[in-house]
Amino acid sequence: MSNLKQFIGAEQPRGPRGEWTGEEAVFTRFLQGLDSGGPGEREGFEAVWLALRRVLVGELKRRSLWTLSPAYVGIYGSASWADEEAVEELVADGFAFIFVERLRSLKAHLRLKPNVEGLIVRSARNFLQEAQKRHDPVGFRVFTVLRGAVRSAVAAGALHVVEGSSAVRRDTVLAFHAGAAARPGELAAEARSWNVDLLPDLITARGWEVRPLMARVEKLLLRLPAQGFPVFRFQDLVDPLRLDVRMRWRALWTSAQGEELPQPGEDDRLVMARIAVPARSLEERESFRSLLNCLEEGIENLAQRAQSKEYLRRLQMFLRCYAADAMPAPAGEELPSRRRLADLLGIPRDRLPDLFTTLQKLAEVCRQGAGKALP
Amino acid sequence: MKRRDPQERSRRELDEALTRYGSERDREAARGPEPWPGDLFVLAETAEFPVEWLLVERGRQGRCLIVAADANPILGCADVAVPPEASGGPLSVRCDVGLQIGIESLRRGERTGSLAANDLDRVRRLRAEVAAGGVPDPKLGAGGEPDPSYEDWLAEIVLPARAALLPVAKEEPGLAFRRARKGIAAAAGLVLFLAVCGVSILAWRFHQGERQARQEVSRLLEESRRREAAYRRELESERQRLEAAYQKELAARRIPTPGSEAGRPLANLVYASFYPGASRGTVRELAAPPGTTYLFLLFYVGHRPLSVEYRVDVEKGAGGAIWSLGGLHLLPSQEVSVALPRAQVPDGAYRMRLYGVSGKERQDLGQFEVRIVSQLSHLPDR
Repeated sequence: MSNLKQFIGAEQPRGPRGEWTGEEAVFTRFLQGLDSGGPGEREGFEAVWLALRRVLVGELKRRSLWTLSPAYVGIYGSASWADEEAVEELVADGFAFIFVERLRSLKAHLRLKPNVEGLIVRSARNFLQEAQKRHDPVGFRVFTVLRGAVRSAVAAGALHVVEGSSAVRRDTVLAFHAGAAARPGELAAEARSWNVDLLPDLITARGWEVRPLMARVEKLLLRLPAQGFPVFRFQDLVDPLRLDVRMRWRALWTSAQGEELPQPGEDDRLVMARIAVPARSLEERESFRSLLNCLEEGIENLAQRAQSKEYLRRLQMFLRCYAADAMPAPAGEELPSRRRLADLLGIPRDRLPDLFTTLQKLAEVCRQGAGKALP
Repeated sequence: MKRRDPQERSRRELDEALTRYGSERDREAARGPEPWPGDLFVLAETAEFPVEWLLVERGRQGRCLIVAADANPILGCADVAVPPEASGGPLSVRCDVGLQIGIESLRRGERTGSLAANDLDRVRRLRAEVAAGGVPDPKLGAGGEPDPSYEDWLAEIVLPARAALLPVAKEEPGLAFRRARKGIAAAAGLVLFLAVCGVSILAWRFHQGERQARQEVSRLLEESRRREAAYRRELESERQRLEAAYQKELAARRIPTPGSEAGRPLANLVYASFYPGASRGTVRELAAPPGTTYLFLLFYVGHRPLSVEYRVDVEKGAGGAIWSLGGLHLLPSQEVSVALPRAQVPDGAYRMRLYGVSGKERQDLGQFEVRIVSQLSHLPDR
């Protein structure tokens, strides 16, 4: 099996930073060679695999996901991307998303285009975006809210793009005065302090609640010049903020241990912790991911009041974060107390037992493979 | 437990996808090239964008409503997600990003698949909802939340794709021009046909035969139309004849209007009263002396439940009613009365039926057998 060095090797075309350039049209030639009903072995499969791997790894790095747990994009059971199997699993997932599920669409465009390399790269980005949105809801939410607030400030003329994409990407440099020099300051400490004001709304706001939340973020943004940050790079703001949110959640779990022992009747939290921790065996990884997906779908299909479903969504999101961040710790011992969980998720404490029970039942149904036939 | 190698798994999944794709292509090919609602197209004008076009409605004169669709799973609140297992899926249909385009533009494009009817319905319903104002801002992300990634996708891909297609939609030739073009095309076709006839006698003969066949068909059609018209005229004439006969019959049964006699007293009446039950089963003889003008008949109703009005039918033999006298009202003596002109009631046996009528209900109040005979002399026998 190829390792990391092989796929970044010199035998494949690459740009100055090792990114995929598409010069040899590997993807296009591969697709052109595919015939329905043809032999299973196809020319260029290996080359496509390596090229796709390079695209995905490049994109992980661009999104600052490379140093985080693979669970943030749905690859469970590996602590880091140094685990070769995790990368291979990601490529397999990406291959399914791009070539297997969207084969008809790719072939359609190939009828009018000589080259679909750009389309494949864009599809790989869509794949990772979707995976992160689903498996790292906290990080994705922070990024989305912050980006929305920054774009709103730019549209209002309060902020100016001095470098990079005007659509505000990670490497966009922004300034409060159009002529400011592009020397971004170090604002991690300031960004982290925002969470005192923004949590838990930053994570739990939905629908119409999001715009007021963005307005609050925008107010915090406008205080930056007075605090000595007239210029900043977007990723320097979003990364510490996102990291801090994750750390706060993680701190809650670890500090909860021994702080408040489970009370009689609270054992269901321990059961949920067991649900949320994926097993390490290869087969169980797959079924764990299916379980999370089934839980998500099951909540949407439940015949419950909208508010209850919203609480269940938050709990489900919490479990995903727990699964991603608390992987190495023993199962069932790190969940925060109900009081802290209720504060964290903005859920009335007395509702938690019923919600846990519902989730537990859903998990049982999902494990029996009947996720779509939920009550 | 060792899981299957990811590469091996991907190869297997790809094989399955290719089989599915092949089946879909065969189905599409068997269906013929004409665009119909639910079909997906890629168009040369938007080839640089990863966008397909869904034909939503095909209107008159070749105008088609199409909306953008793409394979990015990100969704807005005005989008419909077609799942991977559905025909044409996975696809995100951008219901609010549509435009009108001529059918020719779609025929020039490549049909790449089609959606199932229920998915097309979902698109139509959501479009109707958007049009009715049910979606406050179609540019918002799922759940009505602002989503910069979604806004980017619209701004960088979907809307520019529509913009690239707009000139095509605007340059669509007008109706008059299309008609003229059709006419020119038809004329050119005719000229070509004639030229072919001139070159090939066989083709000419074939053409002649076809023309004769068409003439024969036209002749038969004309004859059929002529026969139908004649038949209709005959039917109308018969209807008028029957109507006239009916009116005549009706007039014959109508009580003669008093006319000039209305202002004059009636004289020489033969009077008779009928009571229910009294004459049942027997025949009452009514002698009419010479010079009798009317037979004045009274039918006693008594204390039976009152009706709104009354009717007397006079029957002769088995021929049914020769008189039907309706609209009769009760006299203070609890009787109804009729006067029959003697001239129209010749000697013979009659049956008289009395009915009470209330709305559509008719109640049989009695029937009376009468024989009218002429009395030779009103003088008493000596």
